[in-house]
Amino acid sequence: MIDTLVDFSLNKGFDEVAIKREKVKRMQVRFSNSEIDIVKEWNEDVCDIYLFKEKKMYNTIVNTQYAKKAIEEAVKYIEHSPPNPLFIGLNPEKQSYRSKNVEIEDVDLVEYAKESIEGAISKGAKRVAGVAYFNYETTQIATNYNFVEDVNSDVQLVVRAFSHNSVGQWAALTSRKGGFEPREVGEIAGNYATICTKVEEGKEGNYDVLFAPLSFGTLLSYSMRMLSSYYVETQASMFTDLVGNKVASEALTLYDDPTYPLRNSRVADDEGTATKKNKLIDRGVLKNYLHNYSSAKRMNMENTANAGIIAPMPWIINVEAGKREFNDMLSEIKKGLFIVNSWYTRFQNYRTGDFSTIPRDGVFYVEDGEIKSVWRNIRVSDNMLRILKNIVEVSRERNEVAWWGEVMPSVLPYALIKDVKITKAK
Amino acid sequence: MSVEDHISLIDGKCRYGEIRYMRTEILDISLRNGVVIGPSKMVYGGWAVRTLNKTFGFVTSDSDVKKACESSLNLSNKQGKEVKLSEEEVNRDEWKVEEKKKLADVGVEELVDLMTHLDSILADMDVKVRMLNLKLKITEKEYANTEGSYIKGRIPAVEYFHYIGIMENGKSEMSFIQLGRTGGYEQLDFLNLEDVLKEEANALKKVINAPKAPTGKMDLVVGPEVAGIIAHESCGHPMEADRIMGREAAQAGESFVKVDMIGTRIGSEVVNVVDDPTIPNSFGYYLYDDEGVKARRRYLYKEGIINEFLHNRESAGKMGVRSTAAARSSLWNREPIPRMSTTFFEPGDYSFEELIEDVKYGIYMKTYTEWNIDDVRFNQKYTGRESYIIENGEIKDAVRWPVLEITTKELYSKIDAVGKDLQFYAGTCGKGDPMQGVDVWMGGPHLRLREVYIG
Repeated sequence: MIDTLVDFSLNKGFDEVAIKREKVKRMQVRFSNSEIDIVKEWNEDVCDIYLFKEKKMYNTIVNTQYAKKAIEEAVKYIEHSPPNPLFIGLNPEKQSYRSKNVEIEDVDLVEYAKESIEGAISKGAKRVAGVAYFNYETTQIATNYNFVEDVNSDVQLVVRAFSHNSVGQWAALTSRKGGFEPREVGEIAGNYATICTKVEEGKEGNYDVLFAPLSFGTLLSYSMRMLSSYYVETQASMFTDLVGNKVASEALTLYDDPTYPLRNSRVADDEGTATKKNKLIDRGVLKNYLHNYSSAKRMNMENTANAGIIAPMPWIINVEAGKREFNDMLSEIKKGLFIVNSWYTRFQNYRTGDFSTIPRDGVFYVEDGEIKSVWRNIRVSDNMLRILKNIVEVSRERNEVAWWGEVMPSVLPYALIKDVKITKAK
Repeated sequence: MSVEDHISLIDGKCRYGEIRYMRTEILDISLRNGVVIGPSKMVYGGWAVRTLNKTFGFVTSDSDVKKACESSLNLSNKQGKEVKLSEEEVNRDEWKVEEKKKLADVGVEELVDLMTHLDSILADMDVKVRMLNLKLKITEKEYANTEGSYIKGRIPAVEYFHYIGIMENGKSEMSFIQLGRTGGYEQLDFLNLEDVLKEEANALKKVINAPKAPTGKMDLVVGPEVAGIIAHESCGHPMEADRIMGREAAQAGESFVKVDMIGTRIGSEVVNVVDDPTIPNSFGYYLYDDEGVKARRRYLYKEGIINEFLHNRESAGKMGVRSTAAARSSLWNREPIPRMSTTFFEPGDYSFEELIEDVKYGIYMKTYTEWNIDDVRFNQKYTGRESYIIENGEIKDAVRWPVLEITTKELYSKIDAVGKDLQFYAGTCGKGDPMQGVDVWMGGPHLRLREVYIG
């Protein structure tokens, strides 16, 4: 049907057309206080349509059943719009796409919730909250030049466990059958909530901090968006003009990897370009930004296939593993912190990278390699480029994670970062 | 066909059930550093069916309401917690926000001209980084439940957002602003966009080369924009009853406020923070919430005392009280949960001059840039954008980035005087899972805080 919409658009006088149709079945179970609050199901069929005429651009997002009507309406809208000189064209080259397998057809989310609650409680948690998701999405991309259908499915589980005076959290995401055990996710969250009973106010200062995949993911998710050429060209990114320069320590090699089997995995970007694994930071050196066809042409760089037709966006963060285990890294901290999760990351200045974020769900003070206490009420107030440059090492083990609005789908190790500035309310 | 015609599909088969049809239409124009990206139009809608038996079953469909009803009933029989909804009046009504100039009649050409003109004002002032966005938004909702309520609503709104930045001598300074009103295209006039843009650009120029703000304990006067974000973050959010009872624990978090804290002092006697969905043309305006309960003003902190929570029927039923009509769904495919609308400090009786005149040494934080708060809404940070020294009762030189990092109790306790002015700013408040961004206003008058630590 979507290819007929392309023909329909061309017959209406448009020069180029890119249509993305997403047909989604999504299930969710939310739970809190160790009980299920609600079971949800979504059934949606939506088209995201870009139409071009004489370099003028018009975008419409509609329920698919109204797509033709929206295209007819577009004729009058585009007439009064000025040409967009940033748009060079859609990728005209015929693409060949890799094949994919979908492993997860269905799961019992109620059972996932129950097992994770039991896991957390088995570690001593008093109450447990969380969410379990199952997504099954069919994405069709059609342009004047290419057509492809892409199917993804995934299961996600987030568990937050509470003891009488502490909190722990863990999250898991997989597109593989049996990719994680829900009870184990609960156990990890429960363990962080109960591992230490001494709770005290945090203290300001600069510390070596071991970030778990969730908290490291928060830092990288915000950084990754700033690698979009859209923000770089606008000069609203800390990575502006830094290709070829060191933007992180040698310990960080970072990919955007839509080939990894996880949520956001895509065989084609929104203008039909076949996707690939892109090395963006190679042992600390910035190699490229996230591009679509037009931005790559404008900046004379390699197209990374990250359309977003207006703003290129990342698919999946993939950080290369280090050599040592998390436990070895933790055991060598003299006086520092281990932070499981973080949220509410805000930038004072996107150009400079000055920001703060609030650690949560397992914030531990570590002395001579041992967890001594749980810290309350602290904040990381630092500069993101300084943080990236101060990465000492990343762990051998990696986790597939995503959490709420903070952590995009990622494959992440633990990261030890030196000299992190910690502040608190006085 | 009305949603009420479908109620028979669930009536008698659940303890409670509702069907909502909601449709959101947004025409959107963006400019990036002077380039018109192109108009964008979203038309997004469908049915949401929520039924309650053993638990809530919530199912959405953009094409088949009958199937959604069947699936919802099926899911509602999964094992879950015992839910008791609050008892509420049956309401039957239709309401809408009036448009003098209908949004549907505004042409793309007119929008492009306006936005290009606004961009040129900033370009002429040497603002290098410019991302501007204007939205014309129409939301239509039709709601019916198995108790007999039927509400139909229509909310047109205009919304402006920009992110701008300047660079000088190797330094950069950025700012963002979001303004919005419900109503027709005529509401743009009330946003005074030309004046706002000039003021923002001038403010950036004042502070970019200013010295870093002094640190230490001192008095602080905050402007309405800062007062608004404070009211929203550390009064509105912690007073959401679902957070208080843990239902949002794995997402936006919980609250330092506990169920038994009604009547507990949180601030000084001059502090009155309200949330009111019924202010005409406010950005979070509604007359009935998304469970058909009639909206009213809620006193959250009254004379410094924790007074009443933001409830939907689920949280109110659990606490054994009536809903405060705070149930909102950001889109057709989201469940209704307790949310804010317009949250603000009620004005006092001080003029701006009176607030300043007996400050010996302090900071005037007129606007803010970076901010954040922990997940129980107790430990927060606001970094000043346009800020000045106050010395011997007078506003002196601009300073850069004063930081207020403070607990909620300390912040509200240190307020000793409240201005008589009142201004509102728009926001998109995030909460829920999947994320629900709802339109809100937040605001207040100027506030004076005594002896707080500025970092």
